[in-house]
Amino acid sequence: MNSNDHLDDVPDAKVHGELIDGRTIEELADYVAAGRTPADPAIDSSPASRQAMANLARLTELTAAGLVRQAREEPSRDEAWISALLSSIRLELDEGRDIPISHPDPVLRLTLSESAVRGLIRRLGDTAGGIVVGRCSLDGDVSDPGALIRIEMTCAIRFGLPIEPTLEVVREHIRSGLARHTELAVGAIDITVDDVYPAKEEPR
Amino acid sequence: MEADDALLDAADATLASRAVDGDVVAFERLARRHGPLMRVYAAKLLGSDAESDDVVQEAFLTGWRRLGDLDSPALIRPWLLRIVTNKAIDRLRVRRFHEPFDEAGDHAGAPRAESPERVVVARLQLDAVWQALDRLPDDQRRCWLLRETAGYSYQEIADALELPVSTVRGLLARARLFLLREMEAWR
Amino acid sequence: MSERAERADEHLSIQLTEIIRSVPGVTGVFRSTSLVEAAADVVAAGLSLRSPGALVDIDRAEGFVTVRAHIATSVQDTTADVVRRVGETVKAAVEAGGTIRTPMAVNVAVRVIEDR
Repeated sequence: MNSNDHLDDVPDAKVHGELIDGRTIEELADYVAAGRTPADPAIDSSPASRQAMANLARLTELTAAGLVRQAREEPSRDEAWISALLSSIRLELDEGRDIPISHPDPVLRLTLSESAVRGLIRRLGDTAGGIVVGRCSLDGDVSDPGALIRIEMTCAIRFGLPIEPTLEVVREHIRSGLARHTELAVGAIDITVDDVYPAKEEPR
Repeated sequence: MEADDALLDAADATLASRAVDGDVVAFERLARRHGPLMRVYAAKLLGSDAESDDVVQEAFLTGWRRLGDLDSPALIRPWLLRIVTNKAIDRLRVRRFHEPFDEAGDHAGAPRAESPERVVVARLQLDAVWQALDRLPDDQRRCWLLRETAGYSYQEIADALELPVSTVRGLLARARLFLLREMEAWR
Repeated sequence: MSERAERADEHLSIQLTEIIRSVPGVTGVFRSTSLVEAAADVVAAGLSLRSPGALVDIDRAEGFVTVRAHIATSVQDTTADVVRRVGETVKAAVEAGGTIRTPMAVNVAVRVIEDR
């Protein structure tokens, strides 16, 4: 099919000509796009304009819904580009400092990357219950075995939870997790709550 | 896993902050949440399904590298969508350079939807609009998607597609009328 | 280095990569070279000059050999124990292989602790 066929379907006169209570469809579309502000009483009080605007809104919805529906049709396809993406990202990830793990055999030099440990801290925070970790960093000389390390992080807390008791549980969870997986000497764990997220409704 | 669940429902802003902080898992979550739709959007913009995977992958990689430039973590989705748009348009430019008569496209006229009595109206409308999008001329479809999906202004569309603003207005008006008519046919 | 020694090292690298993968708690082995080297490796692997299964780096310099392995581990296992196990296993495998007789170091780095 020649893609110009449709141009004939919509004659010029109609594109520019047809008025809905004195407004072009384009004016109405701009009005809708602007969130119907500032309010235009002439448009708002016209049933024909309101119907046209409802149609425009519906068209916007349908365009979005079409994309969503199509996107769900080929999940395996997304699996492919996402895993390629992750490989690229991991290859150039900033690993941060080396954090040593001791071993009696001097031939072995064992380390955890700082980014791996920060990832572990995020996970420990996320699984402690009631918070989702935001940023986190390790303060102190992590490459020096035994040096005291301070952890600084931000988090979002679930709505309705008491802040201090919740954070105390989180700190304990992180502390014991790091003690299990690493040899870091963890000092203070400073957590700043900078967001609240809604509690999920529990199915009954 | 538990930790994944916490992230599954996490807000875009939270995931974006973590991604800025170097959290690959959080960025993966964002890619899974928004990437599929952006891939389809890119395919529609390009009028070709074949390149869209590359475009979206490149765009997300660029996004990861430039996370430091992201002003507001809550706006990660439009920010990524803009990168996808730019990547897709870059391809269009390359293609235009190589193929001056780029109208062939692969939208060989999707079949019209079947008789309205047979299927639910809403579903039909969706099909009708989706197929109508494919039947739009390339430039009209691009203007429509940039406006409706990416939220570009007339001026931004004009800059992206290297067209005068007046032309963009005309193309959008035509696209809108055509799509409205197709949609209303199933009312 | 002679072509023959290079082939022997590549063979050892493939072997060590496999051995590390089978250590309990290990969920992956990464290429242990820097980004620039890795990019060159991608090209080399594309030209089938280097096997993509050889992820452990074996570096010979002035009579000293450094074996480098970068791994992912599972959060279900104690990370410090896993990385020690990998170090010990690699050292034992290299010694048993007999192709490296000079002094050596075995470096093992955990780059990501995964949820699986």
